[in-house]
Amino acid sequence: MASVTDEQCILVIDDDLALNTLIAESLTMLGGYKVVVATDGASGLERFFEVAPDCVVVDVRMPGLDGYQFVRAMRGDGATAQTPIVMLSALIQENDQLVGLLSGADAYLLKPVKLADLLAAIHQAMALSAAQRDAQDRRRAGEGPLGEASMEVTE
Amino acid sequence: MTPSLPVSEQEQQRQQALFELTVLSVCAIVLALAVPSMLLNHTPAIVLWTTLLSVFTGIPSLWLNRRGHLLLAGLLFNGVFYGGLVLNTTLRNSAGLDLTSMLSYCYYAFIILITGLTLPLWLLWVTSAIIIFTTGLTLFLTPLAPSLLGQGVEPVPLRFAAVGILVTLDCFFAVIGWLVSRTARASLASAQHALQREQELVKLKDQFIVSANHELRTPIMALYGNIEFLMALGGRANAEQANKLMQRALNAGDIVLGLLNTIFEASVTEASLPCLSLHPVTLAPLIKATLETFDPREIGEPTLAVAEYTTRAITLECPPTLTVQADEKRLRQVFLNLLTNALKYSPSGSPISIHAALVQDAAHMVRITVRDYGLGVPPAEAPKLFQQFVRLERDVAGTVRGTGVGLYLCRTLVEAMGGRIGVASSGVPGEGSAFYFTLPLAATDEVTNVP
Repeated sequence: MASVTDEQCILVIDDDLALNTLIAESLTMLGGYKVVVATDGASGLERFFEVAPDCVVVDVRMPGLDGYQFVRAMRGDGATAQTPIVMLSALIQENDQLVGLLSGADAYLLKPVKLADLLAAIHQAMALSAAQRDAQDRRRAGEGPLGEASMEVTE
Repeated sequence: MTPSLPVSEQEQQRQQALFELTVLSVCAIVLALAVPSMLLNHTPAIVLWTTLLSVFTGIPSLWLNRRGHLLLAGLLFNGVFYGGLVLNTTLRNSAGLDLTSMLSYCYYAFIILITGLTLPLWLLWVTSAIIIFTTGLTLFLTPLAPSLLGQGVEPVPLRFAAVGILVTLDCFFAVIGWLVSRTARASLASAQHALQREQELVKLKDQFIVSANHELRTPIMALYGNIEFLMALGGRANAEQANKLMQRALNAGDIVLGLLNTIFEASVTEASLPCLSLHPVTLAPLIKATLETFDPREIGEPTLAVAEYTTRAITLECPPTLTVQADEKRLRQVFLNLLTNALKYSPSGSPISIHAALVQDAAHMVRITVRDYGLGVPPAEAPKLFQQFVRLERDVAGTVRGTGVGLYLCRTLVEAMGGRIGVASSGVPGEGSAFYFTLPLAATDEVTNVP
């Protein structure tokens, strides 16, 4: 499985205890991540700002603050808006996936999902967000990726 | 979308068909009876023509009716018919009141009938009042024809008799019209009610399917996931870890099976009710045994690191020998369901009390109460709880999982065992709710002595 350089931290928010435990343990042992858990949206948000995780796995239907609201609250904050989110849901209405993605999740998985798929989705979401962050950093630093490249050629 | 639309459409179609039928019959009666007698009696041409005009007004009014303008059609036909009749009777009365002109007042009753059968109720009363009033007035005020007086008839009793007969006839038709429209309205209302209930049930079933799906997916993922986890760990897992994961997979499997059982039982309960076998069951041991089989995690033992749990204070207050007449398996199921609900809908750590005693004003019944201190139930919504597939709006939107089947199942079972089920709650969160059910006391001497 993915080996990690400096232990990446993942926040898992799901109100189902059995599933929460399973995801937390498998992410730790199979993915080598550091895992923080929460069992509802409000405490999830609290933990989120506390530990600033590298990725969030969040269930949709939860007490109080639900998954969508969590994502919106999180995306609204400039400092944390870039954190990749993997949404996990057992809802089956046709537009759920769309609503999930529109609300700002990077991946939307329908329960039951295989642990391997969940790990892959987390990995992919983090890789994508890292690439985006790189691109943004470069754009901010220089004249953007294209200008940089053309300068290199002329040199 | 209004649920009443198809029903009221049907009602309108029914009324239109009825209007068509009555107008055609009235026209046929007038053509068959009045017109030949007019021709034979050499009545003035104007009377004949107005009568024919009234009859042929049937054509445009039937057309209007077909176009859906029932009220307009009724007003047109009744108006012209009434006008024709007034003219007719006035002309006949000009020579004084005789038997044939009295008879022509009978035709007014048709107007009342048409109004009653097809037009709004208020119009029926207005029409009846006008017709009865004018009939009475003209019959009393018009002088009697010489032909009648010549036969030595007493004028006053004759007038009274004629008015009596005609007003009775009018009233009779008005009452028929009123009864028909009332029956139609009642059946319309009940059809609408049935339709509404049907649509409600369809909606609830859809909701049930969504929530059952949701309920099943989570434990299925836990079931798969724990096994997958174990396989992925391979040699890295020690015996204790492997055991733990397998146990969790089994637990998840149990949850799936339990849910399937609930869903299945909800569908077969009514069919399987005759299978109940009622025996004396002593409550205290049964309640204790049920509590012991409960998942300690739900009761609140701090077994998992992921959330803080405090053990709930569960108090049981039950005379040790109190015995009810029930089906033990089903009773356990009812009790388990109520206890599960109490646990699900109240915060962890809040107490739950179970209480069983004789009902005070009906000493042959035992009341078992499960009280929690959770969200409670809004009193207005309490009766709905025991219907099939019903969950409170709050719970559907919330996170506590359920299918809306449990309490319906409880009600069906309790009622089949001869008891009743209910809930007492203020609806104020924190004050919780007390779900109770009653069962007949078992007929043993030892038990009746229980205070």
